[in-house]
Amino acid sequence: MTWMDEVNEIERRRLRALELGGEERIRRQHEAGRLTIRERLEALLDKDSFVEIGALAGEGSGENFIPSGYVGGLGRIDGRDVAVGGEDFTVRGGSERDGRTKVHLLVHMANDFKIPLVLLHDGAGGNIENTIRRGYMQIPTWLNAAGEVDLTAKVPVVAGIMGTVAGGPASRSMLSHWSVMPKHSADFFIAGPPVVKRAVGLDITKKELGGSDVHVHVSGAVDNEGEDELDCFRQIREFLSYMPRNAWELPPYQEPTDTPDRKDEGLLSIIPKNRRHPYDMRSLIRMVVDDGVMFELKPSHGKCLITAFARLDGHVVGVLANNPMFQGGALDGPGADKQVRFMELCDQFHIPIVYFVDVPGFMVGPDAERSGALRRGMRAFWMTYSITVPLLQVIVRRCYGVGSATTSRTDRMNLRIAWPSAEFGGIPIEGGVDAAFRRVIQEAPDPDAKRLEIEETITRLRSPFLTAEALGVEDVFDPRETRPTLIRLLEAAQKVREYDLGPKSRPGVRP
Amino acid sequence: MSIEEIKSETAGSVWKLLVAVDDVVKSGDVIMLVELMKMEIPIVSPTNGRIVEIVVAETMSLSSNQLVATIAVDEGSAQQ
Repeated sequence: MTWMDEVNEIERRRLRALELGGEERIRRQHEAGRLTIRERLEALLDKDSFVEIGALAGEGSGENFIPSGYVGGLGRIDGRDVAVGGEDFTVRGGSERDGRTKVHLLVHMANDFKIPLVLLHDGAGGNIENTIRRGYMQIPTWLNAAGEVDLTAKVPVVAGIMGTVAGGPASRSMLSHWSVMPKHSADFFIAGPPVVKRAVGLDITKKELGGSDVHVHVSGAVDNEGEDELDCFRQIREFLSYMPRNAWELPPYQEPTDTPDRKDEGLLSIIPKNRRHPYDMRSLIRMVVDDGVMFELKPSHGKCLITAFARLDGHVVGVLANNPMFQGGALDGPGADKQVRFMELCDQFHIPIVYFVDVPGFMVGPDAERSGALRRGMRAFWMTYSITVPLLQVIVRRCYGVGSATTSRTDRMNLRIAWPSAEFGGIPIEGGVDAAFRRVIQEAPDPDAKRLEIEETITRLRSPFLTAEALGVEDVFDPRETRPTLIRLLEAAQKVREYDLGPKSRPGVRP
Repeated sequence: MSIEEIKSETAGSVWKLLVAVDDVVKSGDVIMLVELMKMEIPIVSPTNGRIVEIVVAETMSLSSNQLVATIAVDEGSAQQ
């Protein structure tokens, strides 16, 4: 006697699970320009690394068996384990039945094994049919909500918005560290067009309501955009290549192919001598980091600030940089929000930060006031003062106002390195002079000449050399020395991160 | 021949128009400068082509992502 009959039955049932919701529904999924969950997992994960859990789950039996609307398990990305899964849209639109479901199992797996969680969302969550089946209305209950919130302190959580994602799955995708959606084939919203029609009386398409144009480019709810699903998977692998497996480990070191003492000549001329002329900050960053490679998070939102992962001599660094091409780099609400999230992410996973500063201050004007730019800006300031990872500052040009105080910490070593093009100040000379010397200017025989005279006097004090003489800035140096200097400093700072491992708690109340 | 929109990524005010209607421009050519926070931020042509319409004037204020001009794409040399 053997158990061979039963073993064959397992195999038969597994094969049934591979058929998903059937040929017709798979065809429709493909027609929408979308892959099935099994195709997605195959494209995302290392070859043959997927170990499925719960493949036998489903409903009905025999010929009437329908697999569950979720496929999940353990997989590998670049040789590292991840808990991974996603809704199967070909089965009941990816909605799962009530109770403990596979996604909850994956959350526990990520927590118990301390491995990243990658969820490929494609579903609208609750299905009203369930209410009829259940026979009573239910208070919305998020099983293991505390566990999912807590998970963001422990392991990297990635959300792929792959299909039509609404309700519960859309909400869950926001409990991630980073999210990505394809340009054309996915939609993302709190509730879809039929609910919107009944609730606010608006006829609107899925695309208008929540395509990537809305959520990557306007709301910023989703961080990055992929050309298609395959590009999203490439980006997910890239994001994770900068992340440690969990908050108790350091980010992955990679044998560098660039030399630490490389000095890019372009750095000597990238900042125009004309103070009104901007330049390409992304080019500047590429000249400094290993092989000119960086992975930008949220490139289409909060554009006054650039946030990116890169490597310096093989070690992961988080790069923040003001973008002079967008409103002169002035920090506005969306930019400040972006800084808060990125700094917190770097801090949680022990990634040292390099801040390339060219900021005229917080954004000013009626739009800035109405959008709460100061509260949001001070939240960025608050975050700067709550992180414990090493923070280095390179002042490449403007460093003005309280907006610039979000870029370094005066309570720590506060090593600020300035380029010869650097200029600093509490408030700008232009305008600042009018405010402080109003009476003197008004009472002068030639007010314009008087204003110019005062402005010129102060302009002569703008040299970073004068500030350096007073140790008002820690050092001024050749821009070409930026890379070797940062590498040397970070080399000394690597060890300290080992004393600070594990999840971090934040003090106080954010502005 | 397709018409493409040129938008200003940044908010600001139009500082200088550097092209006129019917001018032929190359991809990357600066077509106007937008001033904000004492910075002259260039708007560059996304393609080779001929300027069809300029819908802004100097000193006009712009919001982020506002349309500033349209360009008829030179299909022959637009591919880079």
